[in-house]
This record gives sequence, structure tokens and C-alpha cells, in this order.
Amino acid sequence: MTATEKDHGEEKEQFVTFYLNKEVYAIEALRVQEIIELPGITKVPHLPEFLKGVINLRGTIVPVVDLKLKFGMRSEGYKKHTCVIVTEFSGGVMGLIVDAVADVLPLSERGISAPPSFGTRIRTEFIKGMGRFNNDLVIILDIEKVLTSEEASALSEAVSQP
Amino acid sequence: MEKLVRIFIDEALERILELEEGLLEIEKHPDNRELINLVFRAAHTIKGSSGTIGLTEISKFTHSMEEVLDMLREDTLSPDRETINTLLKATDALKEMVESLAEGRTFDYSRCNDIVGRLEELKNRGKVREFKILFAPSPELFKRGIEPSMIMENLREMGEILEMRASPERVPPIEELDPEELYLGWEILFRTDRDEAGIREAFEFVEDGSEIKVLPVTEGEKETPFLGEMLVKEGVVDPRDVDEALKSQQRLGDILLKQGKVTQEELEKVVAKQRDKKTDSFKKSITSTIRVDLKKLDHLVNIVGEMVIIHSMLQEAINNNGASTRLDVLFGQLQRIGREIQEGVMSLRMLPVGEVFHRFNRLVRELSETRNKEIELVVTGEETELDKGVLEKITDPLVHLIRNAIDHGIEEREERLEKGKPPKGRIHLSAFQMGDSVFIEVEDDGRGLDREKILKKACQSGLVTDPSNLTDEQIYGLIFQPGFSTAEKVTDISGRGVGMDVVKKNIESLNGKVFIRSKPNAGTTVSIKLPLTLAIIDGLTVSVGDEVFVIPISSVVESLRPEKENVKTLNEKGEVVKVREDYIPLVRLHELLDIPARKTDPSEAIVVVTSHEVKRYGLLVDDLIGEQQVVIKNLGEAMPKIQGIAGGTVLGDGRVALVLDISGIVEVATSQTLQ
Amino acid sequence: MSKTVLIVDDSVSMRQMVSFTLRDAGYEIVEAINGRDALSKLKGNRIDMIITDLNMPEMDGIEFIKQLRACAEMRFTPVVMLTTESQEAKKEEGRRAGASGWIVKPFTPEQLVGVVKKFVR
Repeated sequence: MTATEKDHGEEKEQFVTFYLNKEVYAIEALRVQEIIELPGITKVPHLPEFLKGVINLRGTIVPVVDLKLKFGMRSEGYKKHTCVIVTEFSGGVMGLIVDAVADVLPLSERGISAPPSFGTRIRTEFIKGMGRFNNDLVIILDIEKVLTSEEASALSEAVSQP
Repeated sequence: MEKLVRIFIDEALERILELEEGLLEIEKHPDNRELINLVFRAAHTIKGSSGTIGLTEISKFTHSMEEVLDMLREDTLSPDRETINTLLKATDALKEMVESLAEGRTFDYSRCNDIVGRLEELKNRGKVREFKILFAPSPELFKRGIEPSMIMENLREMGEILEMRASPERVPPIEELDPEELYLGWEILFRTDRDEAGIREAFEFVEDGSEIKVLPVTEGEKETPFLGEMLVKEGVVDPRDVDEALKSQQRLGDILLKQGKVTQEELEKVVAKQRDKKTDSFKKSITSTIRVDLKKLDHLVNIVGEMVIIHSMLQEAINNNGASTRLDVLFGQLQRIGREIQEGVMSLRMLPVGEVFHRFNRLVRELSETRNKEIELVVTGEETELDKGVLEKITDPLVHLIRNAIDHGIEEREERLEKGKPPKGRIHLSAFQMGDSVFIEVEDDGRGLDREKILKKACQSGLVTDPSNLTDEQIYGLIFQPGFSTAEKVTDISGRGVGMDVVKKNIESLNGKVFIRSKPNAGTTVSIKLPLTLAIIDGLTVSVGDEVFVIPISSVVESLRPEKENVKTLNEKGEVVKVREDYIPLVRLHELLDIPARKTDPSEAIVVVTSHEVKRYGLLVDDLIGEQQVVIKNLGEAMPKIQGIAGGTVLGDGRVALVLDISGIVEVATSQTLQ
Repeated sequence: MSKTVLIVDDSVSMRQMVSFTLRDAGYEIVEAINGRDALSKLKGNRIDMIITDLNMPEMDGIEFIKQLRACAEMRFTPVVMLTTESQEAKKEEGRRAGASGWIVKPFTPEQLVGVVKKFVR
């Protein structure tokens, strides 16, 4: 899988799309190391709720974050399709717990529109842009910002969500 | 070829360190021949290996250094400050060359013209010497496949054979002549920049049974003109040109100064800055390879040898399908071997702290020169071993601590004299092992921390609200607080201001601790406590609720199930449990770690008695699972540091278990009871 | 014409290291895995110098040197043994068997070339 491909003279970038509840989100494929089934999670004390703990990724210990909790959405137990997207950001390697992985989606720059200033569940600074996938709207996340954001402010925002 | 370059870089960086350290030592002990030899060999090796892989510029440069060093060896040049300075500068340049090579940058060799010029200058001060060599080879030389002509060839590489005469004294009467024996001897007049030992290298494999004499030709017997004189004598140049050339061999700074382009003050400032820069970059050269004591490797090889034998014995026992009792024994042996290999391999990671300590000689020398303070660095306990990973990570903090001691701890000469202290300041860098920890201490005999100023500062920045009941130790500890140092530069307080929080953080990331002791006008000691090894520990696995935790056995005293009446609640101290005759604090792990437990009644659960800095604490857990060795891993870079958790380990079933850090647990527990 | 060096060692990595270094220095290399193998490699190859390990299966280095020196056309060929510092006695034994020199392991490529150059150029 290449991250970019030429299509009608347009640079297209690949995105991995996934579900959080019923909504579709995406992150750049370049950021994704691998996608694994949800393994047993070891809880680590005194962490914010969304940092669920650590998992064993072939001998390496990797922390995992529940993206839904991070965004202040309901998160009710993990199911069969729940999986972990292992991603790299400036702070290291982090596993993202998502409901299911949907597809890999090539998007050209033109296919991405600016984030809306309101109306989304998550803070706009976490959003890189909006794309289309089938007929659904895809929210492209700025995963760097999501993972480096101050936990407290992310939480306080989350609390104010309905 | 690339691999060879890699090997060269690693080796060269090591040798460069030797060069640097050696030169600094030579300055202190100018009569130590061994030191001079060591430094010489270091340069010699770099010259040789760089030449072998085609790095001619580096080879040429080190050759110049080697020549000067050889003059030190030969006593034709004295290791005065200027000589050492020049050689140190050359070492720096060499390091830059190698580092550029390592990073794939091109190095502008013309930048070294100045330093090469200064090396030449030094060289002109010394002299090439002449030797008379008498060589009567062992008659069996041919039979050992050695040709005398090859020896002469080797000699030619070391210098110039001025004269050579064969001496037939040992040739026997013709009827006793054995065509395969060598009877001839040679007398050689040889001019070289090497010493006797260097010349003897040419005869390395023929010394046994041969007679070899290397005699220096005395002053009166020869004349060795300076290069300049020679050039004039040979009619190559005019004497005036030589004078001119000699005059122009000045340092750039001096030239600019003379031409009025800079003032003395400006120049000194820049030079000081340049030195500071160098001390910043000096730690870069730690490479990813490791040098291993041969004994350790031999030991491992022996164990592996044993293992191979046991394997074949095991195979045989299985084939014979017999003697099940023997299988037991063999398995026991294998287990022992496995353990020994593990220990052996772990010990390979251990390095003597001296590898890092010695670099600080240079740091102290340079800093004391720029700060205009006379400071002596005393190093003890260099042989103490630490995990390589730990050693690398404490280098920065140590640089910082030493820098602070020089900048803020040690007073100027006049101030010291007024206080009745010796004019020369002293920094004592020491390492020692105690229990399963290694301590590294940086001690200065300077002015000490100013308690009042620290307090004032801390109150101002709101770190402290009620200073009345703080102990000295707590007050000194304030300088490690992030708010304390970043609020303002506190260099006017006798103090170690900027970045002490970073030092503390670095040490804590290694599961280490920092302590500070200070006495006004007597000095300050910063003590770093580090775990002996990071990677493998003996652990006691326990369960709390659904989770499994590992407690390092090193901090476990015993475990017991207490009787109901032996658990009490004291008003101020919280819960205690009676262990033998004493009551010790009871720490409910599930509460501390904020997880549900299966057993909350201590008389149904287990108390693991741990010791921490002579005090004992009882940790309440659901059950003991067992003892096992575990490899501690960190919880991932992205995981915030959690007090009380040393890391994680992967259990046999693939799940991660957290490894507890008892000192951290105790700290959390005591701070909770205080509240 | 470049000179040919025969390297006799049962360790693959050691053989590689030596061949690599010497090829780089312009020598031709023939490899053998023990004394017996080396003796067979001598036939049909023009060998200018030999570097041999001492501890090898089938035929060790000392025995190899002895047999080599007993062989008419190899009597004067330089032979360098690879020893370790702890093998002082072996060094003496090897010298008496007719070894020309020795290299103490571990050694740097530079040292290796230095020693080889003492015997062939």
C-alpha cells in the first residue's frame, strides 16, 4: 500500500477510516503502524479515564487510548470488531481503541474541505478536514493534536458535550 | 567498506577519548612514560586504521599528531602547556573529522591549516634521531618462512636507512655450511622519528634467537638540522623566506588582534564561548557499540560450551528412552546454565563508570580556565559498574551538576583565600555500590547553598506558603522544583539554578533518586542513587483484584497473613499491622492503586512486608502468585510517569503486569496519611 | 602480481573478517576451515603466505604447521598464527613448529595488515 498515488494528475493521500459509534473518522495511513485485534488491557492506576492502560504488542508495551472517551462520547464495553490502531506521534507509539476499521480511503487535496467551525462532537482543533466516503461525511483527525492535547482541557470539553 | 568505516569510527572515537584524557593526565604527570605511550598509541592506531580504509586526510592529520607525540616520547619536546593545548586542539579537530564522517557530512580540511601549522611548529622544536642497529638473526629464520629483506623493507617504512653493511662474522667454515641456515648479520645506520621500541617493531617476530641492538647515535656523532635549515642548506628556499614563514605561523586570534580587528576582551569572550560550545558537544561521542571485558566473554563462551555438552547428553538420554532420573539432573544443569548465561549477558551491559567520569577532566579543565578559577577534579570509584543505558543517560545530568558546581559552588580564588580555604577548588566525583543501588556523587568545597535565599525565592514564586516547619533537606530539595528554576535565573543565589528540575527528571526516568546536602561555606554534595540494573529483576508476583503486579524481591522481607487482632488503626498514622514484635504501616495496595480488590479484610488477604530505607511497610494484596524473574520494560514513551510504577513486564500468558516501585509506593502512601 | 594469502580458521566470521581486510589491502585470498582442508587447498594454489588459527577441529594449527614445514615446497612460506593472550605456551610451541609470526586476538584490521606486510608485499 502506498500512501500517495497519482490519479488524473492529482496527488492522493491514503487515509484509514474507522467508526466511533456510528460516525466515520479517518487518520493518515502514514501514521498507522498496524491494526490489531483488541488484546487484554492492563489497567494502569491514576490515569485519565480515556488512557485505558497498556497492551503487549509482540513484547513491546504500548499504551492505549479509548478515542471515544477521549472525545467525550459514550463507550460501552468492547465488542468483537473493536480493534486497536497502532499509531506513531511525536510523543511515541500509541494504540487507538476504535469500534471498527472501515476502509482505506484515497483522498485528493480537493476532496478535503475545511473543518466546520461548529456542529461536530469533537473540538475543531482536532479536525484536519472533512472528506467524503460513499455518502458519509468523514472527519479527518489531526491525530498529533488529539494525542498531545492537554488531558484536562480535552476532558473539560468532553464534560460539556451532551 | 562501509562496515569498515563504521568500525573505524567507533574505534577512532574511543581512541580520541584516550587521547584527550591522556593529554590532560600528561599535563598533571609529565614524567609518566606509560601515559605518553598510551596517547601515542592512540594516535598511531587512528593513523593506521584511517590510512588502511583510505581516509588519507585523517591519516595525514593524525600522522602530524603522532610525530609530535613521538617527540614527547623521545623527550625531545616537553609537554608544556602550549604543547598540550595544541595537541588538545588537534584532538578536537580530529574528533570533528570523525564525527563528520559518522554523520555523512563533508569536512573542510582547510579549516585545520592553522592547527597543522602549529603542529609543524612543535615538530620543528624537536629532532629526528639516528640509531645504529646491529642485527644478528637467528640462523633458523629461513626455516620459519621469514625473509630478512622483508625486515629491511619494514625498517624503510619507519625511517631512512642511511647505511647498511653485512657482517660475515658468524659464517662457519665452508664444510659446516647449511644452505638453509642464515649466518649473516647486519649493521644499519638508521634515521627515524621513532624510538627504540618503535624500531624494534620491525623485528617483532624474529627477536627470539636473534641478537638485536638498537643504539641511539649521540649528539656529537650526527647533525640533524631543522627543516628550515635543511631547506636552506639544500638550496630549496631562501633564508629570508623561512623567517617570513615562521613569523606568519600565528594564531588567527593573534593576527586579528594585531590588526586591530578585535579587542582583547572581545577575543577572550569568543574564545570562552567556543570552549563552552565544545563542552556541550563533548558528550555526543557515545556510540552504540559496547566494549566488553574479555574475561566476561570467555566466561560466557565457557558456559555455552557446557550447554552444548548438556544438550548432547540430553539428546542421548532421550534416545535411550531411559533413566528418567538422569533427565532430572540434566534439566537441573540446563536451568543453571540458562541462569548463568542470563547473568553473563546482563553483565555485558555493565560498564565501569570511569568511561564517563574521565571525560569530565576535560570539562573541568576547560570550564575552570574560562571561569578563571583553579579547580581540581578528584575521581574515585571509577571501576563501579553501571548498565550502559543508565550510564549514557546520566552523562547529561552529571555535566550539569559539575557545571553548576564550577559556576556557582566554587568561589573565586580571592574569596577562597579570605575564607581561609585552599586557593584551589575541589570537585569530588565518586561512585560506589551499596546494596542493589549505585550512588554517584558530585561534591564541591564551595560556598554551599544559601538556605534563606532559596526560601525567599520559593515563597515569592508561591512554591512554599509556610516555610516554618521545613527541614533543610526539604528546602534544598526546592531547587529541583520546575517552578523554582524557570521563574528567574537564580545564579546570584549561591545556587544551582537553571535546569535542576531537568536533572531530577532525567534521574527519575531511570528510577533513580537525587539527594542534596549542603553546608554554608563547606560545600554542596549532590547524590544520585541509581538501580544497579534496569532490565531483569527477581520479582514476587501478587494479585490484587483482576490485576497482577510484580514486587521486586530485593525490597521484600517476608509475607504473612495477619491475625485480625494484629491490625489496628492509629489516629494519626493510619492502619498498622503487627509483624513479629513491631507495628508497621499497612498500605492497602488496591486503595493506593485505585482498583477493586477481592479481599479487603487483612486477615483473609496477604501482607507483603517490604523494606525501604530501613523502614518497613506492609503491602496488602489479595494473593501471592509466585516468584519469577521478569524483564522490566517501560510502559511506552507516550505513557506519563506514574509514581509507584517502575514499569511493566510481559507475563507468560502474554498479558502485561505492572512492576511496582516500592520507594514510590511508600512516598505516595506517606503523603496520603499526612493529608 | 598480487600475493595470495591462505586463511585457515573454523570460524566463518573470523575468516570473513580476515579476507575482507586483506582483499581490501590488495591480497588474493584462499580460505580453509581446518588444517586438513588447508593442506588440500595448498595443492593447485600458489600460496605466498598462510594465516592459521590454532584451535580447530580435525587438524589443529600446530599440527598443520608441522606438516606444512615437512612439505618441500612449503618449507619457506611465512605462516602466522592467530593466538589469544592466554596462549603464551602455544605461541612458543608454534614458533618451534616453524611459525613465522603471530597475531594476538582480538586484533584490528590495521594490525592484521601490518603483520601481513611484514612477510609479503
